[in-house]
Amino acid sequence: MAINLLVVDDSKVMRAMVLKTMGMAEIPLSEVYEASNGQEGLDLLDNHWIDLAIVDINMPVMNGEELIDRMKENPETKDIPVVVISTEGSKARIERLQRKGATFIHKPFSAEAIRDTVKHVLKMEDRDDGKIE
Amino acid sequence: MTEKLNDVISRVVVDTFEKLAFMFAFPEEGKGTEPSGDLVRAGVSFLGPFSGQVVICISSVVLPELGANMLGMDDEAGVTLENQHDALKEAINVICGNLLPAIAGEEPVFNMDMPRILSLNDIPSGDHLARVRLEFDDGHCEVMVHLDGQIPEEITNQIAL
Repeated sequence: MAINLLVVDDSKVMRAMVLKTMGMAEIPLSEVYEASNGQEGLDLLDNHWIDLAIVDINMPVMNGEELIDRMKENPETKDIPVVVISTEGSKARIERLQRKGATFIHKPFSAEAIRDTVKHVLKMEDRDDGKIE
Repeated sequence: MTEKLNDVISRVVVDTFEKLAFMFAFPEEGKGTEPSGDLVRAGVSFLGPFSGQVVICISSVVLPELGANMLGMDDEAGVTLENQHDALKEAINVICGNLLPAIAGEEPVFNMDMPRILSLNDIPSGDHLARVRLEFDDGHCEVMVHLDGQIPEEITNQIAL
């Protein structure tokens, strides 16, 4: 199953890194949408089918936490899995994001962390050849 | 405390460059070499139980490799200056984000500003809490932690520095 992915991060380099790592982790991608802040992410969510959102927290215009709140308020986006990739080190903040339904990956991250997390949140299965579907 | 803090900074910086960009940095022995040649500076300000700025000063020759590795590009010559700066900002963002809990633990909450490229005049002139110098194959970097005040005693009592 190839997925439609939304990557929301104000750093173009970090968006590229996430996509590179998704490739290394052999996550099958269909459409990829990129946004540089939460508001752009919401606009893309309004107009496209998204299977998974990978979101940074510290962004201008609209941060990642507000984006998650807005997604959860909308019946059409509330069930889309959200993975937060951030440098956040505060236990209280990480737990608050997890209570909102997001899964947290700490930067710097490995391809294995991305692969395992995406597999888990999308309930993907391993194939015999080690790839996922 | 400063020596142990320098060890923590070195570990965070080495780990960040290795995991983020597959680049290997090595702490310089003794006082190390003052970074020279064309240098680029970036920094992140933070507010919390203690506040200040984490600054990196790095040889510009290192940046094309940093950008290319983070972007997954084979050709360093194709990495624009904007992407080189974006890569450096992301690196100092990750360094700062990992350094604060390494110093203060996971309980305190810090707010970090957006990372930005700095001019020489933007570098805080006061004393720094800590400074480490590391070398790459082709250049050097220096990472400094500047504080706007002192680390509160209740935190210095908690931290294992």
